[in-house]
Amino acid sequence: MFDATETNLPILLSIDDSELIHRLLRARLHNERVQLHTASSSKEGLELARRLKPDVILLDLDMPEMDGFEIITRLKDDPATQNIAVIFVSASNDTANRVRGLDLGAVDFIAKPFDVVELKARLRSALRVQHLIKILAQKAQIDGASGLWNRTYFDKRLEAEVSEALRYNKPLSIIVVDLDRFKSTNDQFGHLFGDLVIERFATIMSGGRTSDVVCRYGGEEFGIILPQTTAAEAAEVAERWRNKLAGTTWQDHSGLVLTASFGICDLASLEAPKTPTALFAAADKAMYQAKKDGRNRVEVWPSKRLPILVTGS
Amino acid sequence: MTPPPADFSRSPLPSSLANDPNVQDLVKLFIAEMPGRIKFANDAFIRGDRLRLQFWAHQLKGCAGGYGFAQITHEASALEEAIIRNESTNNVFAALLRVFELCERTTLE
Ligand SMILES: [Mg+2]
Repeated sequence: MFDATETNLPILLSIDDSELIHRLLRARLHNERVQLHTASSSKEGLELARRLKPDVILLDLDMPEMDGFEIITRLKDDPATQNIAVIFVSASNDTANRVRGLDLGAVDFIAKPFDVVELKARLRSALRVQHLIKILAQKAQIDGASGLWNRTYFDKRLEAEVSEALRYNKPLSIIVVDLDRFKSTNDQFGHLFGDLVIERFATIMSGGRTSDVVCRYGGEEFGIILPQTTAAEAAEVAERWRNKLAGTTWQDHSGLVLTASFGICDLASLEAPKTPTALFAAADKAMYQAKKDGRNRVEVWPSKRLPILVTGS
Repeated sequence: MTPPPADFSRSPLPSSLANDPNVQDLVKLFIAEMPGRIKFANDAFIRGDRLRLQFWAHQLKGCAGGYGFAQITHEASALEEAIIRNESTNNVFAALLRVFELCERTTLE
């Protein structure tokens, strides 16, 4: 739910075992500005929820195998799906069910058979709230100077990406970057110039793949999460950035060359337990090794020169 | 939603959404699938499979109104209730017949 919103329409997922209901929804929401996806079993519903990250789920309470209560419990337990707004849909007019649904985190309840006007109104209201929540969540997680994600977001996103990569056995890399001798650059040329450097470097890193999550981790330290990417591929990305920065010319400071040191680690190279903290620590060590080896370079963990990382401390 | 009292004559039962172009075709399909739906419930009743019948009634209750048949939703709800209350086979049968009666009379307009 923390992905930068694209220009796409909001996504609505209907989880209901009745095809008759899906048919009606498709016809009824045909002119609404939403992308409607449907799942006819609880298993398919949970899979689609993880994959599509819909804004709103219309969840049928009465399903075979796993009922709506069980499904919403799983959705709320999973960091990848816990922020999706869930609207319960049921032909049961039992008040206790409604209360229980709301207690479990549903935002609303719609009775079957639907009243079309009511359905659309409740849906729009949920989408509106989701939209506001997204904007607020993003604002609080963006670094003002660079326009990159901040550390809070980085930590949260890294945790979600690590759990996703482990669950589906997919590659995942991170890059830790530190600008070389940034403090002396600041002292020599002033903080305004320092800010410009940060901004310029942020632009270089943001120009890559949209799936990469670029964050400003500290003053002159950056963390980049690269889903579905091996360490070797991440090293190519870092090498491109390193080159671009070193080749940047700075107005009013001709001849000035600014550089950065890059440390990389992927999940596959870690020993168990493969935690977000261990992944970051390993990339951070690689970055310090790059500094030690003379700066302006890319180092991948584990390097033969590095001592074995002790985790869990 | 309180529907008008069911009319159990053999007169046709038109969908209240007959003039809604968004769902006309869906209503036609819903009516065309009625024989299969009735057969499913009939088989469940004959086998004494009350759970299956309850599930069927619940599903029908949830969707019939959406296709413009509020009365079917109403009677399917009564059938579901009868099964939940574990009423006699005769009572469940009577409730089921009321649903069938309406289902068989459905028409677009
Ligand atoms: Mg259902």
